[in-house]
Amino acid sequence: MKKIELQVKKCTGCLVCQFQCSFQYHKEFNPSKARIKIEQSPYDVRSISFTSECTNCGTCAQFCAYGALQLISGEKN
Amino acid sequence: MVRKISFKYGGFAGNVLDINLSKENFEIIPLEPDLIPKYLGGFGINQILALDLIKPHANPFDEKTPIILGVGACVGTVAPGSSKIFVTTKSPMYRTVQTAAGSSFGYLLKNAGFDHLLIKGKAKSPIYLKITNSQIEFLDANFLWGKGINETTDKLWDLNGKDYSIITIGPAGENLVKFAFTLVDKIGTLGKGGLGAIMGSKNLKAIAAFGNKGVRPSDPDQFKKNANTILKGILGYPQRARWTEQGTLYSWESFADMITLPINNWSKLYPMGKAAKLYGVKKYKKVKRNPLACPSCPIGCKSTLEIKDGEYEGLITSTSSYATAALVSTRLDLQDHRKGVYCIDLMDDYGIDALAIVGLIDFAVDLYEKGIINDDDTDGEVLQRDFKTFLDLSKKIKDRKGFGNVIADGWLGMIEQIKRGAENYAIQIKGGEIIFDPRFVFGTEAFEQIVNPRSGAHVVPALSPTIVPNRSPDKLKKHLKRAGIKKEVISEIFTPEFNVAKYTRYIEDYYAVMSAFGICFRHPIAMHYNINNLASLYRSLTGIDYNQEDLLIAGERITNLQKMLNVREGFSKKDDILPERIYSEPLGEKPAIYLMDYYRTKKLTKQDVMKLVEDYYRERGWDPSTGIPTREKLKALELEECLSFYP
Repeated sequence: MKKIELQVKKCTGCLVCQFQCSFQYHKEFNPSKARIKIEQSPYDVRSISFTSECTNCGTCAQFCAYGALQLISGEKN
Repeated sequence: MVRKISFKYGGFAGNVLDINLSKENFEIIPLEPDLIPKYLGGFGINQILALDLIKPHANPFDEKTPIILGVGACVGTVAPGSSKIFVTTKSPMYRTVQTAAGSSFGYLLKNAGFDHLLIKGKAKSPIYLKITNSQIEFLDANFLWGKGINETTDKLWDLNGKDYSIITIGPAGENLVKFAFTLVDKIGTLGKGGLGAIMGSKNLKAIAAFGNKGVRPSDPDQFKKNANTILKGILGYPQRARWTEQGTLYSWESFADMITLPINNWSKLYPMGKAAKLYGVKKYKKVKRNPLACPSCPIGCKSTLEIKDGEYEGLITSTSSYATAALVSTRLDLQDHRKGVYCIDLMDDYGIDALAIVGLIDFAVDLYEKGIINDDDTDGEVLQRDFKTFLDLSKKIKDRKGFGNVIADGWLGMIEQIKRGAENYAIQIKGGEIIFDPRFVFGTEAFEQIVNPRSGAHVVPALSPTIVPNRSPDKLKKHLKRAGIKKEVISEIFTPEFNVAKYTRYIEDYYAVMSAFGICFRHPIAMHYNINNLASLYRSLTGIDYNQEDLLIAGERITNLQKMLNVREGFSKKDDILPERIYSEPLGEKPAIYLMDYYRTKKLTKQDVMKLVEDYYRERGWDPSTGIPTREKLKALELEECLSFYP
């Protein structure tokens, strides 16, 4: 089974993962409906997490331009 | 007023939020759908709203004079680099009706259900505006008044959560410093023409926005496909990693290496190679903590900086451009990049554009050195081009104390108050400092500073490969082709010799389209867009069956309307001029760099430049004797509204 490996330090807060995830499941760009959550601090990204609805589809990782999310074989973190 | 009709196009929220601060009430007005095909979105629609809402010759600080904020058409989607917002105001700094660009905030405003935000009136006491979908709150900001942007934004995040995007002013805005700007989320600069001061005049400390309504393209799958094709190009760009690593320093260092940078009020050159060594990439790496990106951006050229040693150890700040710290360090000859970082953080906190204030202080020091002003003017303070003078004066400017009160009025205010021929030494165009010295390279960016109705300080620039000297004609032609310029027009631009004015005229319209879409101009983003993929993107987003020609006509309409807003203010050919010193003085001594044509085949006189400006007018279908669009041109562009005030 695939899993999404996280490297929070590489996350720039571009939110593309959230835009893509919400589009995948709701056909709209809406970070609030994304199954991936990006918690930002004033100066960087504090944490990345997934909601219980996440199916490990890998859409978010597919579009991450910074290597913060990578789809690999195995269980989700 | 905003016309009330129902809404129908994809990608748009379809509403305008009309705020009245005096009455602490608001109205949600449907965006007139006909404005969308005509003005495309964001930046474009702002111009027609400004025509309706900003009264001719309005005082920027009159409570009736509105702030008009627009969100680009593609903002809130995965179109790469589509995060731009545009704010149109009557600028206290430039005295033009002008539009400033920023990033972030827009995707949340659109998600809250609004494409545009109008802010009118004046609050009775300091407030901040909180937008949460259609819930609009006018909240007390007395506890924030007088506080810097950093503390204010942090407090508002503590109170409301980090999900909100926040536009904040600092003390400079409260004190009506005419070049006071705002920061979006403590990082994105917005409105150095005085948006901060206008918000200050309205007792508006900050605007926070959050929404979760979503953005839906007309043809979602096709839109995503179009956007992803562009993204693929950017991700495959070999220089992308270097851009993420170096940000705006990517291009800055190449300038520093090539010739170095103007200092001493645009008269001398910083020694060759010194700026790159003292403030360049190696030094950036020492302070860069992590890259940051605007929403939907695959480049991430912004960053968080942390000073790890020395006097400012422990300082953490975020910046949209470390190059600004490098430029400030160069202009002030700080010798230490950490001081430059300290300066930009301090100016950010005051709510002042660092480059604008450095230019103005540099000008003041030059006048002092020349004896045009003396200790009587400066309250006894000796003005020098150093760190101490900068810190002292910037604090006085922020507080409008002593001589700082004069500088706080910007280029035009300083010239008017000092008199004594001060204007002869001011390197400014329409009240804005220049960004590109035409003596170094007279490309489209430098030329556009003359004719841009906003001021010398650019916002919708005429970016092209001519930002770098001596680019091959083939490279320029390729760029023009990408912008959708017809073959015969391209040929004319190069016949009988390369004409920078004609080049500028065409690509301005292209960038007006990019701005209406809300797409970033930074090179690695912009180079992967072209008129064809923009047209595909727009069709799938909105459902409007537009081709490249339709887009460029709309771009031309937007450019002309922006011009007419300022014709109405009394601007004309007389204002489209370079500062006299650019013609009469070389930049530096060894080598002495004179104003020359782009390919540096001959020196240019004032008459030569005027001829180019007239070429630009003619190519635009404007009257070359007045610099004003002809009635025929306005009718052809369906801008009949402008005929009612035609001079």
